[in-house]
Amino acid sequence: MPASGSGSDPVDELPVSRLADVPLPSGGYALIECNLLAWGLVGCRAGDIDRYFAFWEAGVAAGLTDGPGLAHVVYRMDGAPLGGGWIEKRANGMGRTHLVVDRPRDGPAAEIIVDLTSDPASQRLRRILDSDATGHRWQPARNALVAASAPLVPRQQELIAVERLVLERIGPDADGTAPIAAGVCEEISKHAGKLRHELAIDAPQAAGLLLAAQVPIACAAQHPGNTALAELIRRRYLVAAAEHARHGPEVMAHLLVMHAVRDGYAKVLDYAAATYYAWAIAMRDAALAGPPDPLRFGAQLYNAPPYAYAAYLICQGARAALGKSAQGGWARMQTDAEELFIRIGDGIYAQYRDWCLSQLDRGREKITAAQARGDRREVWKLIRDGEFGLRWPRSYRPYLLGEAPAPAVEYPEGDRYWNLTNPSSL
Amino acid sequence: MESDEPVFAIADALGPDVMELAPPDEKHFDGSGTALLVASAVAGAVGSGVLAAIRQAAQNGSTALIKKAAAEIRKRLSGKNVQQIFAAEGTRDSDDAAMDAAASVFAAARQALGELEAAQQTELAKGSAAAAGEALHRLGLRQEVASRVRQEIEVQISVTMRQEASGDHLRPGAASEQQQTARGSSAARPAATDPPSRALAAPRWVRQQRQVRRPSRRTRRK
Repeated sequence: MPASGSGSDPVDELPVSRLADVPLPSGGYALIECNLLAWGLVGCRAGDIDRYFAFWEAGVAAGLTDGPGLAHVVYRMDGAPLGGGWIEKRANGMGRTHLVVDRPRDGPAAEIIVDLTSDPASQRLRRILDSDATGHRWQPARNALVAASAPLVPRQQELIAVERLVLERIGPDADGTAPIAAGVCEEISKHAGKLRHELAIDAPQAAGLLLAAQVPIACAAQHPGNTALAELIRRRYLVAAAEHARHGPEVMAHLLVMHAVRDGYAKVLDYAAATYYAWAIAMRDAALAGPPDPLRFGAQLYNAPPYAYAAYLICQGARAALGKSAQGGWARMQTDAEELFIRIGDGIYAQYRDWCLSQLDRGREKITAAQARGDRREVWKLIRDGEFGLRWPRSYRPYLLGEAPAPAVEYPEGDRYWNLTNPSSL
Repeated sequence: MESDEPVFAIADALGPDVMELAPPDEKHFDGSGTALLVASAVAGAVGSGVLAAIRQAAQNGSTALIKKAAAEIRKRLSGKNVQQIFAAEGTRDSDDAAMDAAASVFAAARQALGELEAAQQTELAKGSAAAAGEALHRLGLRQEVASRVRQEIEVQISVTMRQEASGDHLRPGAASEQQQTARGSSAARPAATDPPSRALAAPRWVRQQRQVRRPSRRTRRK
């Protein structure tokens, strides 16, 4: 926020203003950075961590502080403006984003110009891999770099593969009665899990694949006594998903969900959205209850975004199909799921930022200062801000309170191909 | 024990899920201060509900304590009141004042509760906690989170009643914290079959860089 905010800490207190200025790591440190950076690249939306660092670098250049105030953000690509908005941080720590042109309030505002062609995190990961500091070329990190290489143009390769698979198996030439659709759904599900584990797809793509595979199954399950009808429904929705796959996960899911809602499966989708949301919450809670290890915390967070995004996509499609007749519950779930998705993205990014820039030390310094002033409420707020914002698990409390050494990454000695993400996360 | 401990404990029970109470279709990046404000509203509502019920019983001998407390809690935890918290543009001072007021009402309610018979104490504590949990669930909080908050309110009132009766110094919120610590420590314990591992803390290069850079800044000033 603008430097005018009272009692604010300038972000540019750090000795670097660009990620490129941070020395390259070696040995175990390189392996840890590869993991954290790669998750940041595909954990939520492809290239998210590049945009976070582009924003951070632009904020430092604009004199942004982390105190209260107003900032006007302009996104640019190849010199041309590409949208923007206002960010408002209030004196009590609350904040709002306004994706509107009109200024939400008077007062000084920092002007932050973010160049979306800038990819500082990708560049750093590429440099680490090319320097061979890890002693190998870790393929999942390469996959993440490829997936994030065109952040604003969703890569549809995997979804198009689904389209081919579906049309090959259950296209016009296929046997119209054979019960093959359930097998196709399972195949898509397994394929999505494998790609996600290999860091080859981002969360929206994973969510799209998840819905393409599971919406047909869920709707068909409503007709347990009629196998022919169940097979017909599975095929109908698989084909609907495949037909729209090349338009990207959002469009595909939107049209698939609208289709199913209009066919009378709103309750099924409501249940599916609630289930996906609950799974994402359970994964977040498991991460928060985990050990004081940024890599394990990050890995657990990495598993959750596809589910949060799948819940969001279902609600969005259902609201479009149902119009104003059923806004309340769907709107709430959509907001909650989107909120969760964004928080998890922030958490994954924070694991890398805090590690690479030693930002945890700064957090601890603030807490120590509040403890010295006897400000119990501030101590509580600073610790919970990190937990609620998914910056650290609860097990960091002893460290933050000055009662334990800094959290450390435990990694298996000699395992150079170590991948902490869950192979059956989807 | 500080009087605001129950507010902290309720805020911990709400956790990051407090955002489920925010108005839909708004984009937030609120800090944990919001949880404290919502927890203050909940503690204040429960305290006011308990006090209103006891006051009515004293005035007209009514035995419908829970009904009166629940009505008061529902009124105070209305959608409008709770959503206003997310819209309010408070300052640290105004937030502190809201928390102090809620803590003081909650403490007064605890004291008043202590003057009831044991059976009535338990009944009113449970009923008030349940009314608060139901009100929050109606406003959009998932059932499991609302239950967690209900349990915490009950623990806060019950623990305090025990404390006042026996001088016990059991800290409020300890039950939920112990639960959380247990979950964390079991996850942290390595399995017997885990391979030998190394541990690395975050690199300290920033501090080193700071030390290197400072002289150059001084040089520029000269």
